[in-house]
Amino acid sequence: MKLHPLSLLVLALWLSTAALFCSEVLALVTLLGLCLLARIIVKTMEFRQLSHQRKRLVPLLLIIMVIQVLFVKEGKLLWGHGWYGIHALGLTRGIAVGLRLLILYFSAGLLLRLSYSDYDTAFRTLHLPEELGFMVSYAVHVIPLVSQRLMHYRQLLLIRGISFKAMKLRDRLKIYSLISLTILANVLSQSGIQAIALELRGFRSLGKRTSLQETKLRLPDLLLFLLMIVLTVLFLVLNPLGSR
Amino acid sequence: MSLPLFRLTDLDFSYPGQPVLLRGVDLTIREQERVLLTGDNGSGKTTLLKLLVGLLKPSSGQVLLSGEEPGRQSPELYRSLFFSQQNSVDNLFGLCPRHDLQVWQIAHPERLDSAGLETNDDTLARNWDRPFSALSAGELQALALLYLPRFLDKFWILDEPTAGLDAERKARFHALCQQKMGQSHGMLVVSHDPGLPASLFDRKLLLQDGQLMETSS
Repeated sequence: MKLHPLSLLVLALWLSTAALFCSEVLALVTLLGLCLLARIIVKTMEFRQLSHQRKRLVPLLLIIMVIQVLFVKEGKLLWGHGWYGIHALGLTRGIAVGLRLLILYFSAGLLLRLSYSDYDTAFRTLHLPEELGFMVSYAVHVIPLVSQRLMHYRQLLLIRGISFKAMKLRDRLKIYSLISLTILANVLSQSGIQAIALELRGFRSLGKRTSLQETKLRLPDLLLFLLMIVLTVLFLVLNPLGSR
Repeated sequence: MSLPLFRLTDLDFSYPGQPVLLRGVDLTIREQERVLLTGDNGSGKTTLLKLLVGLLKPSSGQVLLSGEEPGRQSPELYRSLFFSQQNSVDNLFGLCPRHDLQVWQIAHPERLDSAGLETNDDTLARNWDRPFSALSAGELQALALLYLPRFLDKFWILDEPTAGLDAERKARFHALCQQKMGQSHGMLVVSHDPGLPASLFDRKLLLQDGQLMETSS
């Protein structure tokens, strides 16, 4: 389904904000379902990809859940005794934090689908300056860029014959610090070069540009906005601000 | 005859959303072979090298390095390789040449532990702590190849190794390639350098329209 870039931007913001405000597991599960549905509808993810991402996410989520379960000692004791006891509130919080992270992760994927021209279109629809679109677009794409570079350097280390498993902790720390420095320096130098390239091409030197891109919101976009408004109102009615 | 180091079978590759770049490529490279790979800009030479070392995965078909699929596996699989990419910055770790050397020393302490290493290249000897961003493209390329003499016994995979090098450094590289003859491992070089002596290579391959061809010229 073809949605306006502004709709995708608002949807991602709405999902991530709602994830922070909701604390009930059921509401978070519903939000996660909506998030995955949105990603499948706008074709930013396939089921095959989802199973691949699961491999990376599951260990992280399990660690977060275990920490919550072990350190929150409120509510009814469900299992165990003393320091290893599992309490009702700890379990609920562990699941809620895990679900929140999943929603943030998958809604961020919606933003990654957008190119610079999409951000430009979205911000122009709101009559916001072009520079803002450029800055947001650049910031959003920095994280995947860093992650891509990290994978690249890990593979290069392997090609140099470096085994992390066999390495001493001191060497491992040194390698990680060097990789971090390399990536940071590359990203910063890349952004510096791009800024200069933009200036050299006369970015905004000729005033506002004309565009053939469609900037109007269509029926699916309006329906999506309506759905978000209805769900927000429902949430506020069912959970008044003072009760949270 | 030496053992096959690389074996590509019916390999297809395309970048996401792009037309097919490599189509049905079959290739075997033996340990001792010295191979020159040429082709027009954008014909897929660099992509082919990245597929060989596992930096990219084939869309279909198979790549085998010493009988195993390259990728995130044991570094032992790469023990016999020295790989240098076209973009020299991608080969270097850290912020300055000294950092890069530290990574090499962790990987191969037995080869890069001796004194006098810094005198391999006079210009670079003065630049050990200068940031990479302050070095010229030629100096960065020279840095990426600085440790080649320590790895004569490995199979070299070099992407445009002489690009940006001055005449003196090019001559030094050509001399190194001469030394490589008769070693246990050969090399695969992608180059447009007309000064690279043809006698250095046993085979010449041309990549054109996604197909790999043996060529005599």
